[in-house]
Amino acid sequence: MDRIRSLVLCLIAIALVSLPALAHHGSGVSYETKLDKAVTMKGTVTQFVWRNPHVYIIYNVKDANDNVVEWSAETSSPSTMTGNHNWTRTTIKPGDEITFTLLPSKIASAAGILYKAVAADGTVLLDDKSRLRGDPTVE
Amino acid sequence: MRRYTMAAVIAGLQLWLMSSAALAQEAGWKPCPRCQTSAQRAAATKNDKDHSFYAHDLIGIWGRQGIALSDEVPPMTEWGKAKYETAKPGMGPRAVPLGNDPMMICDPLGFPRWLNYNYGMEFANLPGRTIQFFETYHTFRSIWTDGRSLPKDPEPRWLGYSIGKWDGDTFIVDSNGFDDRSWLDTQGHQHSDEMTTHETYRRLSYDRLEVTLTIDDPKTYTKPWVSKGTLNLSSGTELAEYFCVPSEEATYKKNVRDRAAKPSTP
Repeated sequence: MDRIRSLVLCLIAIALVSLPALAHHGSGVSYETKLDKAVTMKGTVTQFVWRNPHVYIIYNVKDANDNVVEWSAETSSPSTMTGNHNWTRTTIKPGDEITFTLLPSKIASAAGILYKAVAADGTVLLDDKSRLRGDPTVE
Repeated sequence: MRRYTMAAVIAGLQLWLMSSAALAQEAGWKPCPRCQTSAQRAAATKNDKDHSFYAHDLIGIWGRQGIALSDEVPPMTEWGKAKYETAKPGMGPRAVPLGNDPMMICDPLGFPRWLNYNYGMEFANLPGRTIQFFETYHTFRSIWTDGRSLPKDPEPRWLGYSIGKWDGDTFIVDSNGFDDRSWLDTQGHQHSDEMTTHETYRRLSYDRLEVTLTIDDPKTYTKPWVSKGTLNLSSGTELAEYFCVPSEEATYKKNVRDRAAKPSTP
């Protein structure tokens, strides 16, 4: 029983530690936080920026009329992405085709916070449930 | 047969050399507190719980985040309210996109904000002073333990002036002389240059450090703001090089922050 309690406390602690990752840099409040607002799209990576304050990906998506739209997908700091998700500076490269699921910006611009990323071979690169908070004020 | 035996010996030797090289690579280089995976953390801390400790030894890396300010914010003075209204934070109940948090342009966090947001904090001792390193923005703070007093009319500093002493098993730090341009937290709470702080650090066990922080600033708050927390020893880690790089912040602003908040951007 103590082990279960310890595990639960540990999971809560990890969740709490991972929560503040975005808002310190002023972008967290700009994004939707509920899964029913998420958008999924396939894109080709043009930039993978492994830098503080937050790692992000720029990628191109073709719309229904074959027009290319450039999107940005934000994640957390490099250290948080390493510790929580085993990412490194080479996890994603320009040219990679990835299926992105984002919680998009509230103003419907081509930007979002990355919730899920799946590589072309089916490898799940990210599945970050801590993004689904429902309340931007607690980030 | 002899040839196979020799091949096996050579293969074994290669494996041993490879594993030695791998070990040599890992030995001496450790992940930063937040870079440490849960498996690495479990391995590094497995003997911490019952480890013996010396109460006056604070050396080590503590925490991955910091000590959060208490939610019980004291009532503000009229001056404090007016200053608070100038802040447009990126989080909390008054969060707005594209606010004016000084950290978004790499201004120093100041103290005590560095205590509550640091990605890990390390104590080290030098003769006559204790050093506090913060991973966030790669900053160090001097806490003088050589018996000096706080300055009477200090020139304002982002980290202020700090003196420390032991009272039993508690390390006590008093500070003054703060630059009032820094915020206290990400929610935009403010302070004046008359603020003083009082901290206590007490090692509860080998791997747990109790920290209290009292902010006393009668110009901004009608009573002291007391916060308390516990930091865990971050065994098996070393602080990373996390500078706030203005050019990186500017690129991030253009590619991410602005794009998420401004309708005019693609």
